[in-house]
Amino acid sequence: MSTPFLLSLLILLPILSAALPFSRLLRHAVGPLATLVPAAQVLILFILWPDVREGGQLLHAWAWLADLGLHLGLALDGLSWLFACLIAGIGVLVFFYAASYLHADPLLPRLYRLLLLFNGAMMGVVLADNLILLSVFWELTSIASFLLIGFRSQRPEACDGATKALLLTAGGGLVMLFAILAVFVQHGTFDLSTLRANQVSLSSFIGVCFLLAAFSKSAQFPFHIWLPSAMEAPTPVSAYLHAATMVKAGLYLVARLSPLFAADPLWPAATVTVGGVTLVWGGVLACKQTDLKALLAYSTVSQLGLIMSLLGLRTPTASVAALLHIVNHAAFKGALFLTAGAVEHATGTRDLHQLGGLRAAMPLTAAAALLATLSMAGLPPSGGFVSKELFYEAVLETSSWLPSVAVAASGFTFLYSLLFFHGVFFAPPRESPHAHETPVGMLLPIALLSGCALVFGLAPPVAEALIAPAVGLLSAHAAAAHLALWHGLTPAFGLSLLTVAIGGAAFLWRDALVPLLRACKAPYSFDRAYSDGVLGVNAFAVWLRTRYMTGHLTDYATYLMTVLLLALGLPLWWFYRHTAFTPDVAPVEQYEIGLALLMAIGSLGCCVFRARVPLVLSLGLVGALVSIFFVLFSAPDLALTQILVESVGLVLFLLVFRFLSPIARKPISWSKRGVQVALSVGSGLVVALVLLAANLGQIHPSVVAPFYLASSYLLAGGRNVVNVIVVDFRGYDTMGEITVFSVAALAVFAMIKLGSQGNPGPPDLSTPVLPSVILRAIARLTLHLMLLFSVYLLLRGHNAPGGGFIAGMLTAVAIILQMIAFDLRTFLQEIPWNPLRIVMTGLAIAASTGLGALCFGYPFLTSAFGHLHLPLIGEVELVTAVLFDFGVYLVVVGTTLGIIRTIAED
Amino acid sequence: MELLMIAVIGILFGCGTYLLLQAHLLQIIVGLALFSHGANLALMVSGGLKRGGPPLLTIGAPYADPLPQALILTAIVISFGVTAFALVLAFLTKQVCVSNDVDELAGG
Repeated sequence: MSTPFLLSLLILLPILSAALPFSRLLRHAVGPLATLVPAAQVLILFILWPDVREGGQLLHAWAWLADLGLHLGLALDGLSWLFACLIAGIGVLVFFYAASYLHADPLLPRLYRLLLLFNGAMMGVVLADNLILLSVFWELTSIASFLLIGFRSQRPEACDGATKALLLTAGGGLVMLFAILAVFVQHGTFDLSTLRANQVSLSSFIGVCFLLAAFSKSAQFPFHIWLPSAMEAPTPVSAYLHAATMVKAGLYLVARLSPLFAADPLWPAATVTVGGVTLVWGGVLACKQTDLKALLAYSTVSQLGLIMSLLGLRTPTASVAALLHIVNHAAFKGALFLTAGAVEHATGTRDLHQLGGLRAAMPLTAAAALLATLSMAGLPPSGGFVSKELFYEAVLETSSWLPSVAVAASGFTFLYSLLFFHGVFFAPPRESPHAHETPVGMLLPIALLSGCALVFGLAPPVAEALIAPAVGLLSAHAAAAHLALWHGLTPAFGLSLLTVAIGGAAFLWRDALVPLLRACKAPYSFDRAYSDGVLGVNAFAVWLRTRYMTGHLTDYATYLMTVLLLALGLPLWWFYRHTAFTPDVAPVEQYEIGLALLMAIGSLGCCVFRARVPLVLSLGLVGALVSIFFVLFSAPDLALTQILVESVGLVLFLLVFRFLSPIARKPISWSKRGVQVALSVGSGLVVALVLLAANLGQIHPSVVAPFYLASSYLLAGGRNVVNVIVVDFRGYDTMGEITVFSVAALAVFAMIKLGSQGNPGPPDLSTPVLPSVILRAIARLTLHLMLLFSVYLLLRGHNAPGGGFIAGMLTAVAIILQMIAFDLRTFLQEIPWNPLRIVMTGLAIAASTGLGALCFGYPFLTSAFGHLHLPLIGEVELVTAVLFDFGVYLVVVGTTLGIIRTIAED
Repeated sequence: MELLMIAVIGILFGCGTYLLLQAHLLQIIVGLALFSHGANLALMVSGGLKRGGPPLLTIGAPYADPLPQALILTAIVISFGVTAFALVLAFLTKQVCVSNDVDELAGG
């Protein structure tokens, strides 16, 4: 099998297996089946070992979003291989253990699904060569961790712990994404291999962002608070994610990126300082704990701090020590967590106050735990001793304040190790009737891990084989130190003796010391700061929401207008600051000023009047003035349409508004009124300035106008260019428009007729009408004249002002006049057709003229024309466009009448 | 002349905005109508204003730009449809929710 395939299999295998139907078909085999996955990973890693042993690197990239420079790049080198081995190897043991630990739990398939998902994501983190890919997997591990901590979702503590872990680790991931983008902006690549090949050195700012991500993931001070809360997860999860693998992702990131910050003084300083503080802080807090898992969690925090500071030292010894301790810690802390789980399984408690003397009931577990405890305390002949010696050696090389810190912290480590082991297995026995030896399924993984902890000490070459490929990548002077259990009487050994002395003394006086430690309570903890922060954000959000979500639509309209004005106004302001132009103004006639003033009065009237009749009349005034302006500016078609629409609109308003509630004068605060006025003035100004900017000094002659003017008669046989454009050149537009218009009629009809289905009753036709005799007479007289004139307008529309829209409106006005003059009953008797039918006929005619062109092989809506002389009327064009216009005419008549009649009937 | 028209359009939009911010549906509809008047005139102005030159080929050059006119023609009819639709909505609102005050409708 090819190596790229094996590489991708490392990630894909667990993620795809997570989708297997565990809960249905494979219910009883879920544990063994899932264990096969990390076992296969171990096998793959074994196959790939020769490729990385001599410092080589396997690199493969699949095309992803190549345009954005994104490749799915995977890389396997010594460092990745080491971490992958931890993930796969400890994975096998934990997966195996979990099957016994939760054997009767109905949620077991879910646990395995999530563990597999995590396993795949974590593999992705250590194998990703592309930084974006790394970030994706990084966040995926945070999500898997969130789901696993919240596994017992009915417990509020579990939910809180999960949220805390997610907020802190995913927040760190977000900062990392920011750093990754900054890397791309500065160096043009997302690929770690390219960055390394170019020997890029990244800026301190990017370094700080990456470090924040690493510190939050690896539970470094002050982000450590999430790790103890994460102990709500089932114990196998704590052992796997929160001791052996996920929390080491931060260490991996620091180790991986360290060479890119070789020239940066801040990187090692920050790493060593934060790591050192975490080391001591975690150790002190671990000694105070009474809960087994909490003790182990703070111990993990402390140990992670140790490794972090070692990575920061960057000397060859420190690098070897760091890598060795990563392996050691994974072994002994994994074993201890699993022991804690076994103890809880046997006794039902994790409280040190209620435990003790279990060595009798659980001798094998006690033996295994002893080995792991020795390693944690740093005592020979365990692997922990070897790495602690190296740790001392590394800090002594730097010869600064570090050795004293190291010894103090190791003293605490020694103390809590003994407190753990002694408290569980030796302290005076408590009542634990059900205590029994750990079942084999759980004991085996513990024994294996403890065995590793021992083997790493007794046979250092085994550990060396694991870390050797990675050492060369960490420090340039890759003198892979030969590990040995016994280094001779070195200063480091002296420090070890000192540690044992301090730790042993502290353990002897534990009855005085531990209560003293527990009594020291900080007035304000980081945990409090976190919860206060979360509560504060919530309170702020609620406050903000109640401030602006007033429940008043007018307020929301105000926000909309404000944003719109700012969005338009700011670019305008910029434009006017940077553009100078001279207004080119045509002269103004006096009567035009008068008309403009009238227009202003009309619009202001619309704002001021609250009684409905003056309001509608003001609007009518504005409409009429608009049509006068159309007359002035050479747009007769528009003027005709506008004035007719105004008349119909007026009738519509008058019909409807007597059903509307009166406009009340509401008490409104001056500030709100002020805002409204300011927004209105602002929007008027902005519109005016936009037009000014668009027009003055830079009116470009229309490009298409000359074409329309030149070809209107030649191509379409019409002399009224506006009409020709509407029915011919831009026939598609008009087709769409009359469709929309008829939909409006349908909607009105539907809303009124169907909306009132709840109380069906015949339309009340007996409303007393006051028919004016004069109006009736005029209406009778004018009806036919107006209808005839509208036909004339329709026919001549192609050559003179007129056309379907205008003729249709005129017909509608004529008929509405009848409706007003006579009562509705008479009217309905006289004109019984359904307006909607007229609309549909019109649409059909318009569409079929368009389709007709298709029959002759022309595009949709192409018109043909010829001329015909008729007596009396004169020359008439036989243009298919006139037929189209007739369709428009019918639609307009039908729609207008439909709307008015529907409302009038109701 | 353009300057005067631009001022008029500004006033139309300003008054339209004020009405849109009011609570009564009728005022809001009137505001919309003022907006469409303003928009139509703005289209007209953007094509350049020309007196005495309707785009009828029977008259003789110079002609006003016919394209904005064609656009406005459809716009007038559509805005009539919109106004009618909005009025019927207001009418139904009154029937169903008793009030035409949008602030009283909210949250109900």
